[in-house]
Amino acid sequence: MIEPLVKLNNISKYYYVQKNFFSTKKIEVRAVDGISFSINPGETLGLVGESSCGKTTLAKLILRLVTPTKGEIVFGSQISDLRKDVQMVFQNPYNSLDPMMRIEDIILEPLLIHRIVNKKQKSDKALELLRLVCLDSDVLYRLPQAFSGGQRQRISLARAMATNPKIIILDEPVSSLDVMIQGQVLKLLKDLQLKFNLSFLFITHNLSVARNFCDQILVMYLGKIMERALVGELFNKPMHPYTESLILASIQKKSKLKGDISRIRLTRGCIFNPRCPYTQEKCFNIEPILEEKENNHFAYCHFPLKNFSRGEK
Amino acid sequence: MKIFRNIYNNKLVFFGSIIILLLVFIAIFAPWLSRYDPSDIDLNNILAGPSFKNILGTDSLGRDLLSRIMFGAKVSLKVGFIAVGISTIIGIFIGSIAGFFGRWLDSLLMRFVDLMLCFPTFFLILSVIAILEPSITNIMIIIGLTSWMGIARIVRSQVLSLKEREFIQAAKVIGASNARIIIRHLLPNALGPIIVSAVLGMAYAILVESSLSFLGLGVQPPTPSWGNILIEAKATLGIAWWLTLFPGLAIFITILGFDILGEGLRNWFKNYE
Repeated sequence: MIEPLVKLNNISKYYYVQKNFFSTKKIEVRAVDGISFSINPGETLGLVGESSCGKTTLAKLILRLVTPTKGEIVFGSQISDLRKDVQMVFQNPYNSLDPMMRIEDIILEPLLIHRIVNKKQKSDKALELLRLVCLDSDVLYRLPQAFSGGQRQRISLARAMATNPKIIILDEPVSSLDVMIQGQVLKLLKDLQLKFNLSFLFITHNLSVARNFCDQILVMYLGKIMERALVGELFNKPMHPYTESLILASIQKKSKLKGDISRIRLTRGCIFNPRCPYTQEKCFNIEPILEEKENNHFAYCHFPLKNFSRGEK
Repeated sequence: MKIFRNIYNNKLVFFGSIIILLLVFIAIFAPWLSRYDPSDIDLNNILAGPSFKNILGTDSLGRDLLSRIMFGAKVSLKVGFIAVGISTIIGIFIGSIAGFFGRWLDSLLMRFVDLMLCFPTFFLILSVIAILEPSITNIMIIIGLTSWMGIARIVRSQVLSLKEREFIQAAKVIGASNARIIIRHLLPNALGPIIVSAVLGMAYAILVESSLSFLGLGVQPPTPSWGNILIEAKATLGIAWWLTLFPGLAIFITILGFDILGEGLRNWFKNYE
């Protein structure tokens, strides 16, 4: 059996917000609620869900940018230094590069921090990193403002690649790029993955991108995993109503769901019950757990869907 | 050069920097530019009005007023630069620590800032100078130590908004230390407002120095300073108008120069963002 690079055991992050100005009562918001999974070497794990369902918080938990309320994250023996071996590419390329630093300083900063290169090797290493992400050497001495979104995202990637990481967390890396550039960046990511045996945690809300890019997909809703399966399995035979409606929405551009995502939990039973089109009595009383319904196909539902039609008839 | 064209297009910055550069030039080259030594007493030529011999006239001891104003510029600018240097360093230090670490440290430091702002600064300076002995060094230090609160607040607010940006998260992900994040990432991005408030602080420091010297608690005679030229002129106000007008004008132009430069830079940085 392969040893996973990182393993999350029942990890949770709760935030507390004051109900209103006068009350002392705090409302608990469960950004991430009891999630367990692991990332294996060379694997691309997709994390799919609506905005504000806790995807980015999960990424920050893995990176220890926020401390978990409950649970633990175990790093495998292959990860010796979190800040070297786990890197991240951020969603907004216009915000994730320091506007006052030259490109050379940006991509070499991780190496200087970890004292990997000395002064002499600096420019060689910078060129090597640029070649890795298919950029010319003349970008080195310019500021980020001179570049387009796609180029900036490559620069972010070069910075992430600088320390030879094992895992790169990609937080919607292509969602703010136009479609042509998206393809280029995704292809570049695939090439790098093959070359360096990287693992990706690919956070996205775009199902079609996830379908082409990932090996396994986690569907997240309100801080919980709704369904987990290999890509083909998930798209051909979704078991959870939420996954079904996401897939339908991506094909038909219309949603089967009622209402809107709400961070504050109002109901008993299944957290999805206010929006689910197939609720039965049990859904309002007992909360389901994420369990293996079929071989390697997990779902958080009492009544997993049996058959799925794409509505194309 | 793009930057020079930008400066020229921004009239406030353009005129402000011309005034300041001219003043700095005069202050540095005063010994070579002036025709007389500022402390040369000529009792045969006291209280002479402006003429070709003494362009701005002479004072009650026959000293050349133009030379004294030129040498006074040196004192004023020196006090301005060093006092602002001290206050900027303290302000950046306290502001960035309060903004970056937040929580109780932020509350503590900001209450301290409030406390300092509650003091009537000028009387605080007066009493400290009265206890210590009035000298240029003491004045520079005491002005610096009592005028950093504005910069601290500005730096804090900048740091508070900048630290939520993604590039700060990115720096944390690659393992940058807190000190590195503050020095390499936060402060360079907060540079604009810091420069603006430093320039405006310069005007304040020069004004305070002149007022102190006017009250006799600042630069001590015979070293010329705009403030102490004015107090000597007070006795002869009725008969020698030039002795009060020209040092007053010098102060006025200097403060105006720093103020319009600061205002211009503020607009400039605003447009830049």
